[in-house]
Amino acid sequence: MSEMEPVIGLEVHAQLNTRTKLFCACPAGGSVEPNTHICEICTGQPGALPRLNGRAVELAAKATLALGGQVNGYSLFARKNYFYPDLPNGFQTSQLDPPIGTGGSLSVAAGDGGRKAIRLNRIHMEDDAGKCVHDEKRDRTLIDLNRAGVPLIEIVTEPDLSSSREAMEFLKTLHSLLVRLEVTKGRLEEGEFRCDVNISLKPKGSSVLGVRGEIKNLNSFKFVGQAIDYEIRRQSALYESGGRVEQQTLHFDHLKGETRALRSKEEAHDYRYFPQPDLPPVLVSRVKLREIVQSLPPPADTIKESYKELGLKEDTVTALLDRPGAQAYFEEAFKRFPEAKRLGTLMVELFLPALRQSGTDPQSAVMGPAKLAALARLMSDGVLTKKAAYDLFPELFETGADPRQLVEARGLSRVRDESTLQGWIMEVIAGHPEEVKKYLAGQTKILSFLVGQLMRLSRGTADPQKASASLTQALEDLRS
Amino acid sequence: MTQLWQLNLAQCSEGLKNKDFSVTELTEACLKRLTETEPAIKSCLAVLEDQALETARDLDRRGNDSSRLLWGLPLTVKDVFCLKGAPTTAGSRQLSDYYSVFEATVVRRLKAHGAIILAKTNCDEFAMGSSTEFSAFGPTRNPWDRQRVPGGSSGGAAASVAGFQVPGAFGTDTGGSIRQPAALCGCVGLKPTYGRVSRYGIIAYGSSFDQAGPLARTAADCGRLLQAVAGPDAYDATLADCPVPDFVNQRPLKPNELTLGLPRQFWNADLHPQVAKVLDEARNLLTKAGLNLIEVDLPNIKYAVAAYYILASAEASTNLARYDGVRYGFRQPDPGDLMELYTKTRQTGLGPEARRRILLGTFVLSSGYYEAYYRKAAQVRRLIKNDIEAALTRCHFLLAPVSAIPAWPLGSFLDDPLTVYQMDLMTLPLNLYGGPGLSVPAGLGDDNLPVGAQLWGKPMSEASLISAGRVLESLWPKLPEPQIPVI
Repeated sequence: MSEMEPVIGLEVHAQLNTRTKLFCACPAGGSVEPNTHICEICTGQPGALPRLNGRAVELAAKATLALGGQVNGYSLFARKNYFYPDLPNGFQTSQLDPPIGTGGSLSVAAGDGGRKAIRLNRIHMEDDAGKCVHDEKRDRTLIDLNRAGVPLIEIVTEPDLSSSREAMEFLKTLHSLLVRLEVTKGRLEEGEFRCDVNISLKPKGSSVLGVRGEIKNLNSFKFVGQAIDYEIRRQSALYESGGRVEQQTLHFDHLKGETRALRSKEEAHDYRYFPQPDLPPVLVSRVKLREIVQSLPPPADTIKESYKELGLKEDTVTALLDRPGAQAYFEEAFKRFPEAKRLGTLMVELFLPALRQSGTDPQSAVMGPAKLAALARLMSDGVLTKKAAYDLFPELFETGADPRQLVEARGLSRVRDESTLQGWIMEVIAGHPEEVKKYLAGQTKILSFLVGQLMRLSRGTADPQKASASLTQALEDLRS
Repeated sequence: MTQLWQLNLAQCSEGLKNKDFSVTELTEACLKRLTETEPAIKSCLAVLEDQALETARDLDRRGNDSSRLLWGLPLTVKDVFCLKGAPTTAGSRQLSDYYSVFEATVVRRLKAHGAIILAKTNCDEFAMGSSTEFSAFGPTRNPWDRQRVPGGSSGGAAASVAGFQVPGAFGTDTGGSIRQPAALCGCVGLKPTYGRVSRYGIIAYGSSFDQAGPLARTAADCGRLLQAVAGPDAYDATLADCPVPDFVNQRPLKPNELTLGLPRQFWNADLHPQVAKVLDEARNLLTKAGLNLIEVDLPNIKYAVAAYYILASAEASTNLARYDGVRYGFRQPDPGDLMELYTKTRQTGLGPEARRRILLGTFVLSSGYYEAYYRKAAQVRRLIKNDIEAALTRCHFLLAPVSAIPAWPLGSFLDDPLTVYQMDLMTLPLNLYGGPGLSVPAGLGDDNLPVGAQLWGKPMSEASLISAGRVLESLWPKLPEPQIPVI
C-alpha cells in the first residue's frame, strides 16, 4: 500500500469585536447572568425582524482585506435552516453566495524551511447560536440565549494544510493577526476563536481526495493538534486494515484524546439555504473600502522586523502583538523612554502578567504608559535597582502612582553615598568574623555571601557593583 | 336617525372635531354594536373593551389634537399584529396563550395618532388561507350571509368593517388577504407597496410578500389610515427609503383623465355569472363616465399561482420554524425526546393549512429540488413583474376582478386546497410584483352578495391610486347596509 498523506482544511469562527449583536441592540458578550442580554429579536419572538450591525460588516471587510481577500461590494445573507433548542429562529442567518469576502491567503512555515501560502476560500458573516446547559442532576436542559445573535466571521481555508503543526501555526498566526486588528478579542476560553477541522488522507502524490471527517468546535490550539494527529492515526489504521473511512461529523474528546462520531453523512442536515428575505443585500461602497484600507496597520511581519531591529527578542515581540492593545501601550511608553529592550522586558515580565491577573486591558490600566516609561528611566539612571523596581511594581500597577514620587517618599533611591555604604560595610565585617577570616585565608568565593548580607542590610538600595567593589577594598585593607 | 357606528372614518373625525359627540360616546357606540353583532359574525378574537374605554376617556380629557390623524377613531387590527395587553395568536393554537413583549410599529403609530384599538380580529392561521376557516378559533361569518365565508385571510378585519363594528381596520395582504375579503364583504381594502409599511411586529408568513394595509368604507378613509402608518422604520430593513406623500388631500381626478388597463387573462376568465353581471355593469358605468378602458396582456400570468405558492411556502416554512415548543407557545407535554417535542408540538399546535405549506416549502427548498422549484419560481416572479410593468406603461392603473366567485358557503372547499389556491389567481400576481392595489365594491349581485374590483398601480403610487379609487366609488352604486341579526 502506498504512503498516505493528510489533507486538511479549516473553518475558523471568530467572534467580531462589536459592542452589540449582529441583528439587534443587545450587548454582545460579557459574562452575565443567563438570558439577560436578550430581546425579542435574538430570542426569535413572533413578528421580530433583524437589522444589520454596520460595525460587523466593517470588521468582516477589514479581516478580508488584511488577509489579502476581495471584499464583495454586494453580498447576501441566507437562512440556514435546522432545528436545535439553542437556535431561536429555527434558522441561522449566514451568508452563502456571495459572501462578504472571497479569496486571500496566509502563509505558514513549511517543512523545508520556506514559507507556504494557505489559500482562503471565503469569509462570511453569521450569527452565533445560544447555549444548551445540561443539568445532569435534575435531568433537564436549560437554554441561555445571551450568545444568540452574537456576530461571527467564518474563515474557510482551501485544503492546503498537511500537518497538525501547519494547522496550529496557521491558527496562531491568524489569531494573532485578527486580535491585533481588533477584529476579534479572540479569547479562546470564551470560545471567541474556534474552529472545525476537515481532514482526509490520500495516497502521496495523488490529486484525488479521500473521504473526510469533520472535527467540530475546537477552541484550543493544542486540541487542534491533538485531534488532527489522532484523526490521522485513526484514518491510516482504517486504510491499512482495509476498512473504509466514512464521511462523518466528529467530536474531539480532549480528556480521552480521541475523536468520536456525532453523525454520519446519512443523517447530515439539509440546511435548505435560501436568501434571507428580511435583509436587503449588504453593500460596501468603494469609499468605505478605501477608508478601511487606510485604517489597516502595517502587516505583522513589518512590525516584527522593526521591533527586532530595536533589539526586542522574538518572544517579546510575539507577546506584544498577541495581546490586544499591548502594542499601542508599548509604543506610547517607547516615545518617552527610547530603550526598547528594557521596556519590553518590563512589559513581558511585569505589566502583561499583572494585566492577565487583574483581567484588565492595557488601555484601562491605571498605570499608563508614561508611568512605565518613568519606572524604566529610574532603573536605567541607576536610581532604582532591579530588585527595588520589581518589588515596587505591584503597588505602582495597583495605584497608578508616579514612580518618581513613590521612590522619593519611600527612600528607595539606590545608595551610592560613600559614608552610608561604609557604615554597612563595617556592620557586615563586624557581624561575620568567621566568614571574614575565611576570606582572608584565601576563600574569596565567600565574598558573594558577604555582598548579599550587605544588600539585605540596605534593603536593596545599595548599588550591588559598587557595594561589591567597596567591600573587597575594605577586606583587602584588613590584610595590611 | 344616523347611529354613531354607521359613520365612516372621515365622518367620525369630523364629528369629533365639531364636538358633536365625544370619543367615549363613539367608542361606546362601536363597542355596543360590536357586542350585538359579534355572535352572528364572530370577527374578533379579543375585544379590548377596558383598554379602549380608558384610552377614549383619556383622549376626551386632553381634548382634540388635530395633528393626530386618527384622534379618537375606533379601529380593529388583525391578530397577526403584536400588541401588549392581549394575546397575539395569529389564529393559531400554537400561540393561543402567547402575549407579545413588544408592539408592532403599525400598532405604535396607530396609537401615537390617537386611534383606539377596539379588538383583534380573526384570520386564517398565520394568514394562510382565503376564507378565515383555517383559524384555530373557528370561522368568521360574512355579514351579508352568515352561512358564507368572509374571505381571508383578513376575514375578521373585513367583517368588522362591513358589519359596521368599526369604521376602519388593519389587515395584511400576502397574496390577496386584504383585497379579497374586502371584495367578498363589500368594503374598501388597500394593499400598499411592499416596503411602504413596516412589517416589524407583524407575525410573518411570506416575508417578501407580506404587507400591512387598511380596510375601511371609503378609499379616502384608507388613505387616512395609510398616512398614519406609512414610512421609514429603523426596525424593518426592507422598507423603501421613500418620502410619504399626502394620501388624504389629493386633487380629485376627473373620470376622463383616467386610462385603465383591463388584463385579458382576468376578464376572459371563467367568472361566476353574478360576478360577471355586476362587473359588466360596473365597466359600462366607467365607459359612460368617460374613462378610457383598454385591454392589456399579462402573458405569463398562468404561472403566477404555482410560483407564488412555491415562494411564499418556502418563506413560510422557515418563518414558522420558531414554533418549536422550546421558548414560548404550545408545547407537547412530557415528550419522550427532543424529536418528539418538535414533532408532537408542531402536529398539535399547527393546523392543517400551516402544516401543508410548511411541507410544501420544505420540499421546494430541499437539496436536489431547489433548482427545479425555488429558483424557477423566482425566475417566474421576475417575468410576471415584467409583464405588469409593461402593462402599466400603457395605462395609469390596471383594473381587474378580485374574486371569480362571490362569498361561498362555509366548508365548500376545505378538502380542496388546489382549487382554493387557484382562486387567488387575480390577487397574488400583485404581490409577486410588489406594487399597491385597491379593492373597491363594484355592486351587489342578485344573490345579495357584494362583488369587488381592484386597481393595481406602480410601486409607491398609492396617492393617485386612492384618487382613482374615489372616482370608481363615485360612479359605482353605494352598497346598502347588510342586515345582521343583533342580540
